[in-house]
Amino acid sequence: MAIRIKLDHVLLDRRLTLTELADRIGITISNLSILKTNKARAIRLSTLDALCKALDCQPGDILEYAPEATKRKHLWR
Amino acid sequence: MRVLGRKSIASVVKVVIDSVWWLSAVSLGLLVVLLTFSFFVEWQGNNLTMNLPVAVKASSSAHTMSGSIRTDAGIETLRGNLRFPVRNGAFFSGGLTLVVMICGFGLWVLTQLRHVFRALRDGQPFTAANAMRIRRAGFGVIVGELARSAMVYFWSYYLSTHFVANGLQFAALVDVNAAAILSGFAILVIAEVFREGVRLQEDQSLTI
Repeated sequence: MAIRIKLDHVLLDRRLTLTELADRIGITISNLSILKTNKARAIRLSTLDALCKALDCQPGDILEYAPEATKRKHLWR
Repeated sequence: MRVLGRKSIASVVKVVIDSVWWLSAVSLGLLVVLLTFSFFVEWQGNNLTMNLPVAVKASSSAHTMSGSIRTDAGIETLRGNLRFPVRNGAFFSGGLTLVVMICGFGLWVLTQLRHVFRALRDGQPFTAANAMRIRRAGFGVIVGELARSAMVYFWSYYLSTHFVANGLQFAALVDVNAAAILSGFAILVIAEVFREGVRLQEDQSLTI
Protein backbone atom coordinates (compact mmCIF):
# COMPACT_ATOMS: atom_id res chain seq x y z
CA MET A 1 0.00 0.00 0.00
CA ALA A 2 1.27 3.50 -0.85
CA ILE A 3 -0.05 5.21 2.31
CA ARG A 4 2.56 5.08 5.04
CA ILE A 5 2.20 6.03 8.70
CA LYS A 6 5.09 8.04 10.12
CA LEU A 7 4.23 7.29 13.73
CA ASP A 8 7.82 6.60 14.75
CA HIS A 9 8.97 10.02 13.44
CA VAL A 10 6.27 11.87 15.33
CA LEU A 11 6.90 9.84 18.51
CA LEU A 12 10.60 10.74 18.27
CA ASP A 13 9.79 14.43 17.86
CA ARG A 14 7.45 14.39 20.86
CA ARG A 15 9.87 12.19 22.85
CA LEU A 16 7.16 9.66 23.55
CA THR A 17 7.32 5.88 23.64
CA LEU A 18 4.77 3.58 22.05
CA THR A 19 3.70 2.39 25.50
CA GLU A 20 3.03 5.95 26.69
CA LEU A 21 1.04 6.72 23.56
CA ALA A 22 -0.97 3.51 23.98
CA ASP A 23 -1.84 4.51 27.56
CA ARG A 24 -2.87 8.00 26.45
CA ILE A 25 -5.23 7.01 23.65
CA GLY A 26 -6.49 3.63 24.92
CA ILE A 27 -5.27 1.52 22.01
CA THR A 28 -3.27 -1.63 22.67
CA ILE A 29 0.47 -1.67 21.99
CA SER A 30 0.04 -4.49 19.50
CA ASN A 31 -2.44 -2.43 17.44
CA LEU A 32 -0.16 0.63 17.59
CA SER A 33 2.70 -1.60 16.51
CA ILE A 34 0.63 -2.72 13.49
CA LEU A 35 0.15 0.95 12.62
CA LYS A 36 3.81 1.80 13.20
CA THR A 37 5.09 -1.04 11.02
CA ASN A 38 2.66 -0.15 8.20
CA LYS A 39 0.88 -3.50 8.37
CA ALA A 40 -2.53 -1.90 8.89
CA ARG A 41 -5.07 -2.12 6.05
CA ALA A 42 -7.16 0.83 7.24
CA ILE A 43 -7.33 3.37 10.04
CA ARG A 44 -10.55 4.61 11.58
CA LEU A 45 -11.13 8.35 11.75
CA SER A 46 -11.69 7.96 15.50
CA THR A 47 -8.22 6.45 15.84
CA LEU A 48 -6.69 9.21 13.70
CA ASP A 49 -8.54 11.75 15.84
CA ALA A 50 -7.16 10.20 19.06
CA LEU A 51 -3.61 10.10 17.65
CA CYS A 52 -3.67 13.73 16.51
CA LYS A 53 -5.09 14.79 19.87
CA ALA A 54 -2.46 12.88 21.87
CA LEU A 55 0.45 13.93 19.63
CA ASP A 56 -0.82 17.49 19.04
CA CYS A 57 -0.34 17.23 15.28
CA GLN A 58 -2.20 17.22 11.97
CA PRO A 59 -3.21 14.07 10.07
CA GLY A 60 -0.73 15.04 7.38
CA ASP A 61 2.07 14.81 9.97
CA ILE A 62 1.22 11.15 10.56
CA LEU A 63 0.16 10.05 7.04
CA GLU A 64 2.33 10.09 3.95
CA TYR A 65 1.64 9.00 0.39
CA ALA A 66 4.65 7.12 -1.03
CA PRO A 67 3.84 5.30 -4.30
CA GLU A 68 5.52 1.89 -4.59
CA ALA A 69 5.14 -1.32 -6.59
CA THR A 70 2.29 -3.37 -5.07
CA LYS A 71 2.67 -7.09 -4.51
CA ARG A 72 -0.24 -9.38 -5.48
CA LYS A 73 -1.26 -11.65 -2.68
CA HIS A 74 -2.45 -15.05 -3.83
CA LEU A 75 -4.70 -16.58 -1.25
CA TRP A 76 -4.68 -20.05 -2.78
CA ARG A 77 -0.95 -20.68 -2.10
CA MET B 1 -30.18 -22.93 18.93
CA ARG B 2 -26.91 -21.39 17.74
CA VAL B 3 -25.55 -22.20 14.34
CA LEU B 4 -21.80 -21.76 15.03
CA GLY B 5 -19.66 -22.41 18.09
CA ARG B 6 -19.89 -24.97 20.86
CA LYS B 7 -23.21 -26.82 21.39
CA SER B 8 -24.55 -25.51 18.09
CA ILE B 9 -25.89 -26.99 14.87
CA ALA B 10 -22.32 -26.99 13.51
CA SER B 11 -21.13 -29.14 16.43
CA VAL B 12 -24.01 -31.60 15.88
CA VAL B 13 -23.19 -31.85 12.17
CA LYS B 14 -19.50 -32.34 13.10
CA VAL B 15 -20.42 -35.30 15.30
CA VAL B 16 -22.41 -36.82 12.41
CA ILE B 17 -19.54 -36.27 9.96
CA ASP B 18 -17.07 -37.74 12.48
CA SER B 19 -19.24 -40.85 12.82
CA VAL B 20 -19.55 -41.23 9.04
CA TRP B 21 -15.80 -40.66 8.71
CA TRP B 22 -14.93 -43.41 11.20
CA LEU B 23 -17.44 -45.79 9.61
CA SER B 24 -15.95 -45.06 6.18
CA ALA B 25 -12.40 -45.45 7.47
CA VAL B 26 -13.17 -48.86 9.02
CA SER B 27 -15.02 -49.96 5.85
CA LEU B 28 -12.09 -48.82 3.72
CA GLY B 29 -9.71 -50.74 5.94
CA LEU B 30 -11.78 -53.90 5.56
CA LEU B 31 -11.96 -53.39 1.79
CA VAL B 32 -8.16 -53.05 1.63
CA VAL B 33 -7.78 -56.28 3.61
CA LEU B 34 -10.26 -58.01 1.27
CA LEU B 35 -8.39 -56.64 -1.75
CA THR B 36 -5.08 -57.93 -0.38
CA PHE B 37 -6.55 -61.39 0.21
CA SER B 38 -8.18 -61.41 -3.23
CA PHE B 39 -4.77 -61.72 -4.85
CA PHE B 40 -4.14 -65.00 -3.00
CA VAL B 41 -7.61 -66.61 -3.13
CA GLU B 42 -8.19 -69.73 -5.26
CA TRP B 43 -11.24 -68.82 -7.35
CA GLN B 44 -12.11 -72.30 -8.61
CA GLY B 45 -14.91 -73.83 -6.54
CA ASN B 46 -15.34 -70.65 -4.53
CA ASN B 47 -18.89 -69.55 -3.68
CA LEU B 48 -18.06 -65.85 -3.91
CA THR B 49 -20.51 -63.76 -5.95
CA MET B 50 -20.38 -60.25 -7.39
CA ASN B 51 -23.26 -57.82 -7.50
CA LEU B 52 -22.92 -55.21 -10.24
CA PRO B 53 -25.25 -52.49 -11.58
CA VAL B 54 -26.94 -53.36 -14.85
CA ALA B 55 -29.40 -51.86 -17.32
CA VAL B 56 -31.65 -54.16 -19.32
CA LYS B 57 -33.78 -53.44 -22.38
CA ALA B 58 -36.77 -55.75 -22.71
CA SER B 59 -38.13 -56.71 -26.12
CA SER B 60 -41.87 -56.01 -26.23
CA SER B 61 -42.69 -59.33 -27.98
CA ALA B 62 -41.16 -61.34 -25.16
CA HIS B 63 -42.71 -59.30 -22.35
CA THR B 64 -46.36 -58.33 -22.91
CA MET B 65 -48.12 -55.95 -20.55
CA SER B 66 -51.73 -55.30 -19.62
CA GLY B 67 -53.31 -52.64 -17.52
CA SER B 68 -56.64 -51.58 -16.03
CA ILE B 69 -57.06 -49.09 -18.88
CA ARG B 70 -56.43 -49.64 -22.56
CA THR B 71 -52.93 -48.42 -23.18
CA ASP B 72 -49.89 -49.19 -25.28
CA ALA B 73 -47.54 -49.40 -22.30
CA GLY B 74 -44.20 -51.12 -22.69
CA ILE B 75 -41.05 -51.55 -20.65
CA GLU B 76 -38.12 -49.61 -22.09
CA THR B 77 -35.21 -49.98 -19.71
CA LEU B 78 -34.93 -51.73 -16.38
CA ARG B 79 -32.15 -50.88 -13.93
CA GLY B 80 -31.00 -53.14 -11.19
CA ASN B 81 -28.15 -55.40 -10.09
CA LEU B 82 -26.86 -58.62 -11.58
CA ARG B 83 -25.45 -61.20 -9.20
CA PHE B 84 -23.10 -63.78 -10.62
CA PRO B 85 -20.37 -66.11 -9.29
CA VAL B 86 -16.81 -64.84 -9.49
CA ARG B 87 -14.69 -66.80 -11.96
CA ASN B 88 -12.24 -64.16 -13.07
CA GLY B 89 -10.00 -63.20 -10.13
CA ALA B 90 -8.40 -60.34 -12.02
CA PHE B 91 -11.80 -58.78 -12.76
CA PHE B 92 -12.83 -59.07 -9.12
CA SER B 93 -9.54 -57.61 -7.84
CA GLY B 94 -9.63 -54.85 -10.45
CA GLY B 95 -13.20 -53.92 -9.58
CA LEU B 96 -12.41 -53.99 -5.89
CA THR B 97 -9.37 -51.77 -6.50
CA LEU B 98 -11.63 -49.21 -8.19
CA VAL B 99 -14.03 -49.35 -5.23
CA VAL B 100 -11.14 -48.90 -2.77
CA MET B 101 -9.85 -45.89 -4.74
CA ILE B 102 -13.26 -44.23 -4.88
CA CYS B 103 -13.92 -44.92 -1.20
CA GLY B 104 -10.49 -43.52 -0.35
CA PHE B 105 -11.27 -40.43 -2.37
CA GLY B 106 -14.63 -40.09 -0.59
CA LEU B 107 -12.85 -40.41 2.76
CA TRP B 108 -10.49 -37.59 1.73
CA VAL B 109 -13.48 -35.34 0.90
CA LEU B 110 -15.04 -36.24 4.28
CA THR B 111 -11.75 -35.31 5.98
CA GLN B 112 -11.90 -31.85 4.43
CA LEU B 113 -15.49 -31.40 5.64
CA ARG B 114 -14.51 -32.71 9.06
CA HIS B 115 -11.84 -30.03 9.45
CA VAL B 116 -14.22 -27.34 8.15
CA PHE B 117 -16.90 -28.20 10.69
CA ARG B 118 -14.28 -28.40 13.46
CA ALA B 119 -13.36 -24.80 12.64
CA LEU B 120 -17.05 -23.83 12.57
CA ARG B 121 -17.55 -25.49 15.95
CA ASP B 122 -14.57 -23.51 17.26
CA GLY B 123 -16.20 -20.30 15.98
CA GLN B 124 -13.55 -19.61 13.31
CA PRO B 125 -15.31 -19.91 9.96
CA PHE B 126 -13.25 -17.50 7.91
CA THR B 127 -9.76 -18.94 7.66
CA ALA B 128 -7.71 -19.44 4.50
CA ALA B 129 -7.45 -23.16 5.30
CA ASN B 130 -11.25 -23.45 5.48
CA ALA B 131 -11.71 -21.76 2.12
CA MET B 132 -9.18 -24.13 0.56
CA ARG B 133 -10.82 -27.20 2.15
CA ILE B 134 -14.28 -26.24 0.88
CA ARG B 135 -12.80 -25.72 -2.59
CA ARG B 136 -11.20 -29.17 -2.44
CA ALA B 137 -14.50 -30.68 -1.30
CA GLY B 138 -16.27 -29.06 -4.27
CA PHE B 139 -13.77 -30.48 -6.76
CA GLY B 140 -13.91 -33.78 -4.89
CA VAL B 141 -17.68 -34.04 -5.30
CA ILE B 142 -17.48 -33.34 -9.04
CA VAL B 143 -14.55 -35.67 -9.70
CA GLY B 144 -16.00 -38.35 -7.41
CA GLU B 145 -19.34 -38.35 -9.20
CA LEU B 146 -17.65 -38.53 -12.63
CA ALA B 147 -15.44 -41.39 -11.40
CA ARG B 148 -18.43 -43.26 -9.94
CA SER B 149 -20.44 -42.93 -13.15
CA ALA B 150 -17.41 -44.02 -15.22
CA MET B 151 -17.05 -47.08 -12.98
CA VAL B 152 -20.77 -47.91 -13.33
CA TYR B 153 -20.52 -47.53 -17.12
CA PHE B 154 -17.46 -49.78 -17.26
CA TRP B 155 -19.14 -52.51 -15.22
CA SER B 156 -22.43 -52.36 -17.11
CA TYR B 157 -20.51 -52.42 -20.41
CA TYR B 158 -18.61 -55.52 -19.20
CA LEU B 159 -21.89 -57.21 -18.31
CA SER B 160 -23.45 -56.27 -21.66
CA THR B 161 -20.58 -58.01 -23.51
CA HIS B 162 -20.41 -61.11 -21.27
CA PHE B 163 -24.03 -61.94 -20.45
CA VAL B 164 -27.11 -62.73 -22.51
CA ALA B 165 -30.66 -63.61 -21.50
CA ASN B 166 -33.80 -64.54 -23.41
CA GLY B 167 -35.73 -61.47 -24.48
CA LEU B 168 -33.37 -59.19 -22.60
CA GLN B 169 -30.57 -57.04 -23.89
CA PHE B 170 -27.97 -55.79 -21.45
CA ALA B 171 -27.01 -52.18 -22.11
CA ALA B 172 -24.10 -50.02 -20.96
CA LEU B 173 -25.45 -47.75 -18.25
CA VAL B 174 -24.79 -44.01 -18.37
CA ASP B 175 -25.64 -42.85 -14.87
CA VAL B 176 -24.33 -39.35 -14.16
CA ASN B 177 -26.04 -37.69 -11.22
CA ALA B 178 -26.45 -34.13 -12.46
CA ALA B 179 -27.58 -33.00 -8.99
CA ALA B 180 -24.25 -34.15 -7.55
CA ILE B 181 -22.30 -32.29 -10.26
CA LEU B 182 -24.35 -29.14 -9.66
CA SER B 183 -23.81 -29.50 -5.92
CA GLY B 184 -20.07 -29.65 -6.54
CA PHE B 185 -20.20 -26.40 -8.48
CA ALA B 186 -22.36 -24.83 -5.77
CA ILE B 187 -19.74 -25.83 -3.18
CA LEU B 188 -17.06 -24.14 -5.33
CA VAL B 189 -19.12 -20.94 -5.30
CA ILE B 190 -19.45 -21.20 -1.50
CA ALA B 191 -15.66 -21.65 -1.31
CA GLU B 192 -15.26 -18.37 -3.17
CA VAL B 193 -17.63 -16.71 -0.69
CA PHE B 194 -15.48 -18.04 2.16
CA ARG B 195 -12.36 -16.71 0.45
CA GLU B 196 -13.97 -13.27 0.28
CA GLY B 197 -14.93 -13.63 3.95
CA VAL B 198 -11.29 -14.36 4.82
CA ARG B 199 -10.21 -11.23 2.98
CA LEU B 200 -12.83 -9.09 4.74
CA GLN B 201 -11.95 -10.56 8.13
CA GLU B 202 -8.29 -9.83 7.50
CA ASP B 203 -9.14 -6.26 6.52
CA GLN B 204 -11.26 -5.93 9.65
CA SER B 205 -8.54 -7.30 11.96
CA LEU B 206 -5.97 -4.95 10.42
CA THR B 207 -8.23 -1.89 10.71
CA ILE B 208 -7.01 0.08 13.74
